Amino acid sequence: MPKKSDKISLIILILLVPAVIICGYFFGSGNGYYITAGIVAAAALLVFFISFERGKSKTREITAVASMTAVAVVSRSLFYMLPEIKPIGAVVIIAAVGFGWKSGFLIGSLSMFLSNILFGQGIWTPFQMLGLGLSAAIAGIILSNKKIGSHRILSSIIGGIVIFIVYGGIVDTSSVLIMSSDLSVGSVAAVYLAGMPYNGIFAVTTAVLLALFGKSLSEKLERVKVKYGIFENI
Amino acid sequence: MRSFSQSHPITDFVVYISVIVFGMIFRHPVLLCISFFSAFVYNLMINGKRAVKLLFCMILPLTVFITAVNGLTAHYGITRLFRLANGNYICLEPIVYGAVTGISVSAVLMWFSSFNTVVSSDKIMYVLGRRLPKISLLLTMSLRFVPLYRNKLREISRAQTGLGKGVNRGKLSERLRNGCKILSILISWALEGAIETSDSMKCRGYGLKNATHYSDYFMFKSDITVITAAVICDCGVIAGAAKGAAFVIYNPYFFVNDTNALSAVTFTLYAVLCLLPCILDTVWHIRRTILTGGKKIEAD
Repeated sequence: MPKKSDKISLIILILLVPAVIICGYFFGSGNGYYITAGIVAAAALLVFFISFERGKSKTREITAVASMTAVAVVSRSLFYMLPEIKPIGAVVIIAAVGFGWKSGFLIGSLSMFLSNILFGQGIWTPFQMLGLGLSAAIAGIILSNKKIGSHRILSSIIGGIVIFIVYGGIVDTSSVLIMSSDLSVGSVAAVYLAGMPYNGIFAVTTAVLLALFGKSLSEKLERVKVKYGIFENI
Repeated sequence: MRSFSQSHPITDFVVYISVIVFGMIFRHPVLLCISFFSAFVYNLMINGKRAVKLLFCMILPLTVFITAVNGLTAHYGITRLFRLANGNYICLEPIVYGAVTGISVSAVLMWFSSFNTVVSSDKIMYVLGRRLPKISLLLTMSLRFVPLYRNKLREISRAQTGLGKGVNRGKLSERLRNGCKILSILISWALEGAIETSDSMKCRGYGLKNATHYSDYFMFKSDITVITAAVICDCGVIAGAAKGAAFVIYNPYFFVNDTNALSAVTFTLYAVLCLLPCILDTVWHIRRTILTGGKKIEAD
């Protein structure tokens, strides 16, 4: 059963990150933690990309994924008057629900990579990619459950929470690892607290946007899927 | 002979990965200074004014922030400066260590700043293309879609504003709803277009066997020289660090090994590695000036 092994590999991916951070705590010195964690983030992404390379996907599916990735990147410039509102989270989650969590992971991680190509790469690139990719995949799995997904308010709140915990958690952990090299409770808390408002705003806007246009957009994706016969076996 | 920014992507990647990884690992003051200095100089050569702006608007405040957080939250160290109200001591060592962390982060940030100029999206695609063809196809297509969609988004946005449904006026909830509408219109248009693109690709033979890759980067002799030099320096620095040349303690007191022949060699090799881009660009400029007799020609 391919589906079961897919889910197992996702769980391994989720467990891998904290595991290596803990390993880095014992082995690392200086920025040893950061490098270990960065390598793991990159490896996790690579494992995923290679499985995508090996897998069979139709040309139509590849272009649909590319298209949603570009939409996610472009959506940043939609509310240029309100720069705090970043619809990228909502777009990525809806795409993950519509096109399956694997495509969601691809769209999430690649849209982060792409917007970093356009706005500048940094040491945080692998963490942002992994963060958004995993948030999309996890939200996609939860929300593709018919009972939860059809409940508008509940599903948008879940989307916001996933963004807050998974994306915020991964990206802030990377800043903790890079900025405070001693990992004392105080310095870790300071960095997490500094990141809290940004994550909060990102999560809330994601939830609001999901509630506002999640349903209509999902229907659009559904229509394209049926019309062109793509993503049939997800 | 080419300048560093015109070099083969693999040359760029070898040098950048080395300096960034070393820049993050090493905490020895001399090595840090070498990394910081050469990162700044190369950034200045590549980005000009932007490098100075980065230094003053981002690098310095960040370093001060990291220093302050570390100095205030860590209380180890044998040099006690003064006592806080809650009984903890503010010590010199954590402050120094915070500054050291800040400088190392700053150096890496500056390396990335020049990386973003030197390693264009073409170069990234070239490196990914062979190994991950589907992913790089995805990225290439999205890269092309971004400006296309941005223009379309502007068009839709203008039309909706004309109807009185723009994102710039009205209550926040209204603006949000209008924004969602615009995004939704864009997505319908984009997906249909993408499917059509894929059908067109298929008709032109995408996915057939024996397809070759297009690439416009060639390994020159100078690339091989630079890669060899970088690898030799890497090995030397790693060996030197393994023998203790980069050894330093900040907790609970400050300690570095005495400078001896080994550490001098390590520092020199590290300096050569970090300055490779600067050296290459300077040599290239000098040679170009000699070849053209000092006349200015348009850069290709």
